[in-house]
Amino acid sequence: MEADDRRRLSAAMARLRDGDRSAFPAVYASVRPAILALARRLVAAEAVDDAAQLALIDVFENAHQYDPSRDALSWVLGITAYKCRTIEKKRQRRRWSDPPEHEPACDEPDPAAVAERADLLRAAKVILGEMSSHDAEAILASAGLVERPDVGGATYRKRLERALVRFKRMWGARHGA
Amino acid sequence: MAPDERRARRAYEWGRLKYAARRMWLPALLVVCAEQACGCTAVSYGVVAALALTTLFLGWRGGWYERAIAPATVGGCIAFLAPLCAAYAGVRDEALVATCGLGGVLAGALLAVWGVRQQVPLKRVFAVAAFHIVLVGALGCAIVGVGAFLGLALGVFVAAAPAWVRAPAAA
Repeated sequence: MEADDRRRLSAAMARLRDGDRSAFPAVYASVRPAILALARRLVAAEAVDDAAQLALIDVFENAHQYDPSRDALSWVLGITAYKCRTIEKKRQRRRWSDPPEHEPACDEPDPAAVAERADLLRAAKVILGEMSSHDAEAILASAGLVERPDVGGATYRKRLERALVRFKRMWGARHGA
Repeated sequence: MAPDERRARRAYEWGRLKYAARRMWLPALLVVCAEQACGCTAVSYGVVAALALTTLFLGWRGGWYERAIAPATVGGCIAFLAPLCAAYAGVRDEALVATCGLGGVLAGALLAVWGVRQQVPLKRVFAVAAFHIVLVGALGCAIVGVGAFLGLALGVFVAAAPAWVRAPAAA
């Protein structure tokens, strides 16, 4: 969006905030494509329409909270990004918690998947070996491979959280993902 | 209008309604004050309900309507307090009715001064704001009777009339 368009949108948004309904079509026409474009970048393809719709509703429902001294597009995209992230998190959580709809036809594991899993485990072991014993112990205990350290629940959770952050950082540095 | 646009429009109106509902403390506070000062009748509760709706409408509509809430409420409070103070000072009967009228004139004049200074571009804003003043003031005048209420309404409309005449019918 050009600087002039942004200024026009901010002016229209300020009018809408003040209750001027005649600014609604202009705001809607400018805001919808921007919301859709951001939603396409932030959520999976099948959830784009829902995310954009919810973000659009959020933007208009909170139009009275818009601060006219701020850029309207940034404000709109901020709301959209938050909404998209929330939706994407929910979607991922659902994907992990829901059982697969169809059980595999046979119990034999896919050889490619077995090989990939073995590779991942090997890479994880290397990184765990480089971590401090506290961190490695916390992560292994969370996977049920060793006994949980003799510390309080909250302490353990905090220790595991920090260990996972370090693990992800080391993994990212080594494998780039 | 596309379905998406309709939904967005509905969301906008709903958001404005919620925003306007935040001002509901005002009628609630006034009814408590009226109850403490002179006791509420069924008419008073009806007036408070109308006042709540007017406040909601002004906030929801936004723009000049929303900006009119402050002067209309201050003016209404003057009209509300005038008969109560007069009654407390010992004024009775016709003089009390006249006090209600005087309170209305003061409130209407306040609205007119605000409208002229701010160059309010709508006659309808004056009409709704004057109605709001009458409703707030009526809570105080309820102790006096129907005559006081009419005096108050007349006072408000007479005092606000010059500003109303000056304002254009549409922006």
